[in-house]
Amino acid sequence: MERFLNPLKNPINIVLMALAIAMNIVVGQLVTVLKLPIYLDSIGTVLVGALLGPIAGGLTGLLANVIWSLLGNAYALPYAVVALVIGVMAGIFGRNGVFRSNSPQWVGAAVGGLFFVALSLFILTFLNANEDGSLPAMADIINANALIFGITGVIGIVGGAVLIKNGGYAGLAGILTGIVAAVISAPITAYLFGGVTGSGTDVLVASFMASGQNILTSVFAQGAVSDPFDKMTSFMVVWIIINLLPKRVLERFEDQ
Amino acid sequence: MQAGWFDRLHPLTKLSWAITVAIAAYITPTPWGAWVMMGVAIATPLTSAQRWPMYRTLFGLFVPIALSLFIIQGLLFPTPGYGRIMLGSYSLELGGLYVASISLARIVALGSGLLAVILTTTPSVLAQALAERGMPRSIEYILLMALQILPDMRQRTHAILEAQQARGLIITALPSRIKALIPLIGPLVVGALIDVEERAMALEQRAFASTNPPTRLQQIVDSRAQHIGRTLMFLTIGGLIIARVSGVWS
Repeated sequence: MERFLNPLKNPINIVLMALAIAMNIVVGQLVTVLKLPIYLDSIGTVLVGALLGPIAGGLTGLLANVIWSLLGNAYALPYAVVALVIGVMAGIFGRNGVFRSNSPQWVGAAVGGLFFVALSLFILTFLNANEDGSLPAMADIINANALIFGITGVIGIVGGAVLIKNGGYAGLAGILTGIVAAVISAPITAYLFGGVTGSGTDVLVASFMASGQNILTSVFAQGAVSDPFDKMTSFMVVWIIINLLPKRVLERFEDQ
Repeated sequence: MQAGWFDRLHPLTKLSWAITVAIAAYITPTPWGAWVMMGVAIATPLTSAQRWPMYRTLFGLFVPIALSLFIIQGLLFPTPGYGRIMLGSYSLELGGLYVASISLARIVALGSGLLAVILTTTPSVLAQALAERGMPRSIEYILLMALQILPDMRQRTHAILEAQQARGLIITALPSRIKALIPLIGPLVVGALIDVEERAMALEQRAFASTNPPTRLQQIVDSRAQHIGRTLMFLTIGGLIIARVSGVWS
């Protein structure tokens, strides 16, 4: 138990945190090579949180962004607080056994369905914004697009049953973490960087602004579309890896 | 190229300068503050040996950001009372461009300052300077170890990718690329976790747990003038924040 409270005193923790930081960078670059529409640059942070707890997870996230800055990406530093929160949340979920337990398959299906329906609702709400920029009522959106929600719900349920399977708890934890990350990063992007990051996601921000939203809302909307999916994937990957690891490897990181 | 006066500054002096310039650019209520700080951030490392790599990197970083700001603020940010210019069927909001120029100046001030520190200070020297001022040695170890492990891990990832492709892993269509994630990331993570114990033993053998202050191979030169300069910079920032928050300067 002391290891969770004093992560910096144990050399095994120090080494794992350093490896996790390098993993964040390398896996992020691997995803770029594979041309996938996600970042996966928090895999190491989530892994440390899952294995060593919230303090180590938060510290890993924070230091990962510091390292990114030292490698030339000066704009990573203001987002260090987002990475810290991701690590802390992964640690809290880890201590509650989310990464080591299997959910029933229907939970995975439900998470998939819920995610796709929520994403569709979110996007359709902004695309159907009123001329004055105000957002329409959710009930109106659902009534007007019932077929779309039905289709996305079915796709999500089938996708969840096939892809998420027994990792429903980890997937749900990832979605929650992604939403929190979007909430925290939105003001940073909006007020420090004028709503832009110089990457492809600026197109999404521009789309939301074109629908009549202000910068903060548009940046949050962009984050809410991409971050939950990205963090859900990261949490799922860590869940799969932890469940594949030999027990003797996992035991090194458990209480003695 | 010979090191300039900026290169020879103590790492913490450079870091204090970068933080001061960035905060001042954001805190000052007038747009001139942002533009002046941008000028200071770009011009201060002018005599640095790393100035051309820095300016090249700045150009590569800021052109996409400037373009995005131009589109988002100039075309999509209506500002009544500021006028507009018609470009075909699009209207360019002058108020939006004004806001975009202030945002760009702040971003450049933040980025230039940090980039100047990064390019003129090796990470080990920066970590040492922070450790000498009280940062826990374990954080210093984490930072330096991560930087040392990174090239090895990149090589390992490349080897895993080639090995898996030799075993028939296909990464052409999107579904196959998604399926390829676990076969690629799994061996990387498992290999790293297996290495943990060995590296931890090496760390312990290097007196990681020792409470005695370490003897440093490289002595970082500091001066009383720089110490006073750092104090003045932090007092300036504190004063600016207080003036802004209290409404004295708004």
